[in-house]
Amino acid sequence: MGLHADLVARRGSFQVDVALDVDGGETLALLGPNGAGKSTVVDALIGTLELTQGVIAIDGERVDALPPEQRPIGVCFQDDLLFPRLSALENVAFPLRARKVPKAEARRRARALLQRLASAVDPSARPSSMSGGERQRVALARALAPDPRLLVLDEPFSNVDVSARPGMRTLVREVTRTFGGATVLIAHDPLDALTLADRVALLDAGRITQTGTPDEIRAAPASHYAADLVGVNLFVGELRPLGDGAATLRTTDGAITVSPGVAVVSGTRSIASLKPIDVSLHAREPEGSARNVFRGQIVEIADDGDRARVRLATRPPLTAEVTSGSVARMGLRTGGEVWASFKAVEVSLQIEGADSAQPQAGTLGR
Amino acid sequence: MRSRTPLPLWILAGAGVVFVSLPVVALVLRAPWDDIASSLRGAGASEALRLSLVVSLTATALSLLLGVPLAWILARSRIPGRSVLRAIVVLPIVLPPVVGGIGLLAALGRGGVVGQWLYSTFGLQLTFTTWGAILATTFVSMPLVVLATEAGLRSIDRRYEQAASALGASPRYSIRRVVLPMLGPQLAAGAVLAWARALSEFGATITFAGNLAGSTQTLPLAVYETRLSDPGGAIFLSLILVVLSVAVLVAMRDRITQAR
Repeated sequence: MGLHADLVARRGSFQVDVALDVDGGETLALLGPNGAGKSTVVDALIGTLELTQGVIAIDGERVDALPPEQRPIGVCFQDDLLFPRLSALENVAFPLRARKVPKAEARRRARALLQRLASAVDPSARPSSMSGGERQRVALARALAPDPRLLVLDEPFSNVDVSARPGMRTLVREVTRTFGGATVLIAHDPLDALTLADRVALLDAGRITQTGTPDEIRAAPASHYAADLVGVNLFVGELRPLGDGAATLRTTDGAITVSPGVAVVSGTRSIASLKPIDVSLHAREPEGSARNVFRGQIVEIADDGDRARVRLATRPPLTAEVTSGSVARMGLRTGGEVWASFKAVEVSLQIEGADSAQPQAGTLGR
Repeated sequence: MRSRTPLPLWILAGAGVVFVSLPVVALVLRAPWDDIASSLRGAGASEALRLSLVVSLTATALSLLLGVPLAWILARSRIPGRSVLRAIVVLPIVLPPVVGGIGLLAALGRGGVVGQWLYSTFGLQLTFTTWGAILATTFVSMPLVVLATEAGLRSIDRRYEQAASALGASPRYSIRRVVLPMLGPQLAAGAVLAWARALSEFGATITFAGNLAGSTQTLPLAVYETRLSDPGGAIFLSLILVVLSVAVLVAMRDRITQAR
């Protein structure tokens, strides 16, 4: 059950060649930079682009020969693509009306979905009068309206304000958890992929370079590209404000000092990320301004002769990226002890329920 | 902040305004207002006005009926020779209307290429009938609908149509619920332009349908006929056309008179 796709599709001279298997109830994030072929994969799945060869099956039924309107797929488009001359309610009812569901029933179901996913939106409002976040919520409701067996979420946060993203993330997580079918989440922000998906597939130049759970991929990125993209340090926990504008983020495994940039209430849940390249390693206890200093054992050194990723059993666990030269110079070896430090301001924060967040909190990675 | 405009510009612009508005002002000044009632009656004003409205509105409806699908094909399909097709379709815009009338006679007149057959098979004669006037008017009006609609279609992001089909809409449902509503302003603009052109149509109509009071004599034709025998009546008929034209301008106000 779920989605089984093994497809080759071509647009101009660009070709994607990917295999995706997603179980019912599972969310697979397809993560890649712009130009990796994400939208080509989406178009092939929903049928607006014909396959060059391959198979798409949903719950065991081939759909690749069907026109788009006959595929049991709900799509939440990048840039929402709400129909501008229809109200929020009419937009959500659209997939039902298109499938000949009687008007009254379509409207009833659309109203219930709007109530659940976008209760702040006036059902009679036109898309142009809504905020980006509201539009995306309506688009999500529209995708779910026809009770699809595959849900495709194409960068659902792209037009959502940084301040509205945490709420939208929470909503997407709730929707994908309760949705019984397979979900494919297209993402270019690693944080979205790592926090919302059960599994992540990395797409680069039209091919999938690695597939695994978020933890597997973060722990062992198979390429430089993957390391840059997803090899971030992630911390999930609660904030405790410190007197000077900084705050402590307590995770279940240690705490770090962060710089939220806004006043935070004690106990606010937050996701923080830190690039490995921002973590410095030291043979002795470092002196300086860095507020986060940890000591721990080296678990693993992945050295490709140019750069090395060093995994540390600190609390919380950290991954640092240093040059291969530093590894030799400092005499780093697996099992050895080392000091690690990073500045509070290097940590990007996603604060749930916050009105604003740090500007850099929107995108991570590269 | 006021920008300073050089004096010669003011003078030339003023001359332009006078040149354009003087004929209209002159019509008002020269109209024999004292016997307006008898003049209008003598010139058959109400008959001509009724016919003008019937012909121009029917021609506009026909232009939309045929022009919108044509615009769709031109904007959306990938048929070969599309630019040639577009040139053929918009030819009546540049063609002198009298040439259009001659062409219509050759095609649909009683002895015409198709008209001969229509007459011998169905006993159908279009020349010198109101339908003839409507066809001649449609001939010159439809291209304006095609151009406006095609431009509108091209400005619509095609992803909306793809989204509609991915959300379960058949092509027909997508056109009805998504594309046509988005096309509304351009359709309206095309319709008003076509209507304006239809109201002022003269050459093709008089050539193909003749100038018969009560069946093909629209306002412009009536003006033409009465201008020698009853100059005062011709002026009143002209003023009716001026009023109708102003109505068109009002309907189009955002598009023509308020350039942005």
